[in-house]
Amino acid sequence: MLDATALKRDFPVLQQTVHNNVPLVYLDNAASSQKPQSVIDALSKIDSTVYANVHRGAHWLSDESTALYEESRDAVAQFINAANAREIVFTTGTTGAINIVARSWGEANLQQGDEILLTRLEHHSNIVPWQQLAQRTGATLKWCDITQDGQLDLEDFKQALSERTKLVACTMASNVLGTYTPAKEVTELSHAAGAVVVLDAAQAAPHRLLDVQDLAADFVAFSAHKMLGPSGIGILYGKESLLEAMPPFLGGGSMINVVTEEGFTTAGLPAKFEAGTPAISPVLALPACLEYLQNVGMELIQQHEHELVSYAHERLATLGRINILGPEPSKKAGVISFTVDDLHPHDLTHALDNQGVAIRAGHHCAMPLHQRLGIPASARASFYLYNTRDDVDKLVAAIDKAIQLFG
Amino acid sequence: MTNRIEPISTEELIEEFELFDDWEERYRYIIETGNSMPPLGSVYQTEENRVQGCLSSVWLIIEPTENGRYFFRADSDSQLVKGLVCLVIMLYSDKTAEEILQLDINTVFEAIDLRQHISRSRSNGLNSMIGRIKSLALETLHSS
Repeated sequence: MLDATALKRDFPVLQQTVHNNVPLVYLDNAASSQKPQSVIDALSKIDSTVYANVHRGAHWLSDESTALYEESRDAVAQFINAANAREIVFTTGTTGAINIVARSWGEANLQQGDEILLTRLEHHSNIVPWQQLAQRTGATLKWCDITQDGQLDLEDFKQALSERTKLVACTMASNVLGTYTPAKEVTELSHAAGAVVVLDAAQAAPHRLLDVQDLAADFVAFSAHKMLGPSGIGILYGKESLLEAMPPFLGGGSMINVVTEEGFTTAGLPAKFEAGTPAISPVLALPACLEYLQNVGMELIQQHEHELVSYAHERLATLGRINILGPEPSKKAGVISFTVDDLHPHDLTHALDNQGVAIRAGHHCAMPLHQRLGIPASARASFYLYNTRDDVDKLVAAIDKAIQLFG
Repeated sequence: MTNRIEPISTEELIEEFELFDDWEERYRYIIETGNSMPPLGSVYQTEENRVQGCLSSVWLIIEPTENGRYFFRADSDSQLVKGLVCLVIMLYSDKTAEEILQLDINTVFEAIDLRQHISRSRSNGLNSMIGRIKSLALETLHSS
């Protein structure tokens, strides 16, 4: 069992009160998670001891920071069970990672008549880069539907997949409904059809074991700031053979071997995709995040969130007027999105905020999904390892109060 | 002319809010104020009248009078925003373009502890609505 109450004490932000001395209940983890003291300390230590630009200087500090930078890459490779660290590219975030694939792999491999298959569960980050790619290449977008309860419709997926499908973009866990998708099956089916798969793991990597070799994944993208880390960095995992064949996307320092007036030669992996000075301190602090997660245990984290989301389903159902979106708790991550009859999500979140309960309302960067669900917006509470049953009780009490207030 | 919103001075509004002890009382007043505003019929809820907000929508109709003063009608799909919009309208109503531009609405909202609702500019249409009213006032001043 995971002791969330004890873990919560490691997170200074969560010890605060907000507004007029109301304890903070942070349930917006799908947007961004908080940092434990160990990560805050790691960031501070890096900046006070080893910070220098990486892969450049012939001096002690730069050597130290370069060594640690590559150790971070090793730690990520180990965390997701990549075959080797050359398959790990540091990016600006999940969005940045997906855009590299769209720009680099996409432009080199797609042409008119090709199809890109997306699911209706996607976040805008896994939609818009493909729409842009389609505009540039003349490829067309196809959409895989969801079932009535918000799961990926595998039958529809099989129907939509064809020899024209060159790329499949699929989330591993919906940021709105929490739905886990059958990523392994999607990958198998896509490979059988000759398509390459991009998995958006932004809502999965922080919450459950991720094994890219077991998935036989081509590309996987996720962000550090949703897994106890700093914002501004993300990871693109790419199968070595795919990354090797791809042209660089951003041009600049670090991604070259030789530059002359006539042209340049490209550096090898993974430097080829890391032009410019990266977010050095955040990357160096990544092992501290991964270590914290691994010390708690990814299976325990997943189980804990499942228990919380099951409890939240149960408790919210007692309020009435609540419509919970998405599938039953066993099919999803620690995310619960809902609407309240006759209560605007904006009004709900402000009433909750005044009671210290931080949730999110809106379309959660998934407008096509909301259109599919036939609602303009929803409210979302999302849990992490430090959330407790007491947090769920406070959420439910705060919603109840909001319903009374707005009538 | 349809039933106009009763104007209020900034002093009166601030005094009104001094009576409230907590956020619930403030919200209750805002909600009731919004409810007192006659809803805009769906014919007026057009794209032209819509002030873009990320999460909630505001519809605004500006009604200048012949003597250079302004009245407004508005609506929102959010009860809270509708109430806040009504407060803004009460403050701006029956004022000239010059008086509208002189009114420091941020300071008023700060005084009644509602500043966050206009600083979170993308989440509701309130800020854009204030912007629309001010730019019209500015245009009027420049063209006169």
